[in-house]
Amino acid sequence: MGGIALRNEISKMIRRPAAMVTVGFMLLVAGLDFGQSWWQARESAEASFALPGAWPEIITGMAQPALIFGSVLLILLVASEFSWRTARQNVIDGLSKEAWFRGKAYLVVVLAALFLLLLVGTGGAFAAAGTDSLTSGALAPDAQQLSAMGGFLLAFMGYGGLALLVSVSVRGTGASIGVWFLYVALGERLIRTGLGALGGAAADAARYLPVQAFNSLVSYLQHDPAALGRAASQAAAAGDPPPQVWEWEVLLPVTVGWAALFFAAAFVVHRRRDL
Amino acid sequence: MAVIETRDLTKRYGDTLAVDDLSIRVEEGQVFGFLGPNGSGKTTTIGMLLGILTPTSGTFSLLGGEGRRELVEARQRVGATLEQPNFYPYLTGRQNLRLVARVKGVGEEAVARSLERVGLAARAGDRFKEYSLGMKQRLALAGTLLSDPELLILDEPTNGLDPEGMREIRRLVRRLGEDGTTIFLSSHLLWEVERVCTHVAILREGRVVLESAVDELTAGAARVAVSAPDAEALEAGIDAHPAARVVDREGALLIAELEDEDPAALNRHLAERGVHVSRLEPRKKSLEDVFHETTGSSEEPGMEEVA
Ligand SMILES: Nc1ncnc2c1ncn2[C@@H]1O[C@H](COP(=O)(O)OP(=O)(O)OP(=O)(O)O)[C@@H](O)[C@H]1O
Ligand SMILES: [Mg+2]
Repeated sequence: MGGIALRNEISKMIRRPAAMVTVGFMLLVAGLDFGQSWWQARESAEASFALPGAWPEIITGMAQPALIFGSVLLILLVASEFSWRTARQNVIDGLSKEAWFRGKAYLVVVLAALFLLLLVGTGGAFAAAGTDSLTSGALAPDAQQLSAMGGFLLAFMGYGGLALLVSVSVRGTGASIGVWFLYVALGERLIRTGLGALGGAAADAARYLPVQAFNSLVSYLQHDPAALGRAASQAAAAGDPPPQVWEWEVLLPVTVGWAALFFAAAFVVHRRRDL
Repeated sequence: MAVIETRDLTKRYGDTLAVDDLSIRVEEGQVFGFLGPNGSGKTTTIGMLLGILTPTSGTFSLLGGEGRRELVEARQRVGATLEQPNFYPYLTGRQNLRLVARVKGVGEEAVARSLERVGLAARAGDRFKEYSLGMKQRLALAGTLLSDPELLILDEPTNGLDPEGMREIRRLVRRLGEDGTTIFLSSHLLWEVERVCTHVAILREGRVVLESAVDELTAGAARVAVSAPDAEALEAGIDAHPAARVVDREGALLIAELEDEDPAALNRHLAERGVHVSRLEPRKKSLEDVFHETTGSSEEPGMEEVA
């Protein structure tokens, strides 16, 4: 039943005007940013925006907006089912509550892939336009870039899991977006400050808050040791503190754990509540 | 086989006992009317059967299934509506039905046939949000008919329909009932239930106050409507008869109930007392009469529509 639910989710999404507007906005924002890089590279000799050198910027440069637009789209697609009472109707029509939830959970994966494709598509198109000789070597992403893509997908699962949890708990579309945004933009920072003020173990724990960890997944330095080395020596030359990245043995379990926790909590909340 | 069976089903919202120890049994082939005034717990009961509300206590079975998995499986063979029709406003009627068809595992022909059946084929390409309430109700009904369900659960299906639409729904329900589909229909309209249902349960404040076959309810003591030029003498005459009593009045007509079901004897009795009857006709007891007898009220709140 999860497969049928997902097919229905996709049918509903591609006909939903609000979904198309959100995707359109994402394309516009990414297009403007990558277009600007391409333009600068054309006009100035120092700047460059060509493959394969542009891959890090393409994958991680616009990752933050993609995570935000993707989460907003997900909330639109989940929370509206409660205001329209279609979540209720779906179950009346024979989809179990569990299958309904699985459909939404698969949708997060689909959206993660879609938004990665949007970034790679727009960024790749502009960078290709600025590349003199398009060889297969320039097009194929290397290990660091694949790692950055994986990081984006995992970060999207985290952001999406949080959006899903907020949607099934708050249920109104506007209110869900508000609550989600408040946490991502402000709430976590306040918690971090609060924990930091407590000192000791609490201050250590503040390092592991979810949004901060997800954001580290889309920092390019996290994926490319050579780039990290260059950034560190630049910082040293300028007298700045060296850039901080996570140990993968820590970052991976922390982010996977948060994402899994959000999905599990969303499932439990949805299953327990009356429709 | 019991198609629906509830045992002490209870749903509590804070201090409100919406459904209170409800035990009913719907057998295969019945057209079962679930009758009750506003707020008596009809929707809540159906919501529990459909798996969208979790009972506070009590159990039920649907098409013989009882466990979580069995219920999910059984619900696939049920067509149901609950309160207002809920569909995706930006999709057309047909697109909405296609989504339902996928869940029910039926194809495009079923969608077309269902739309035809509820008279919505011509407007199937319009968006749901542009539909009138009656058209929305029809679309909901089309959804329930997609998979030729064994059991049809309809929560006030004629709500919002014009008289012609109501008649069509009643006709459809009767026809489906005759074809063997078990139907569970909630309503606050006594006459609607009387016209289409074979069985009825009357609900009041979450409790069943009466459950029976409609025939049995409206059978029993015979009723006659009588009038005479001298109304006082007529009433006195009826009261003097050992097996008759006046139970109601409709203008100049007196409604009398006869224990021995013999109107001729009443006529003879009145004539012997010099009361000359100008009109005397047998009356079937209506569900409304039964309802008022059972609940002991003539002014049931939320039941004005029956008048
Ligand atoms: N979500 C809810 N929260 C609190 N109380 C509720 C809720 N849903 C229903 N109730 C209460 O439960 C009782 C039964 O409501 P229900 O909707 O089942 O009645 P009904 O018989 O379907 O009425 P109607 O004919 O108006 O549709 C009412 O007192 C109602 O106020
Ligand atoms: Mg109701």
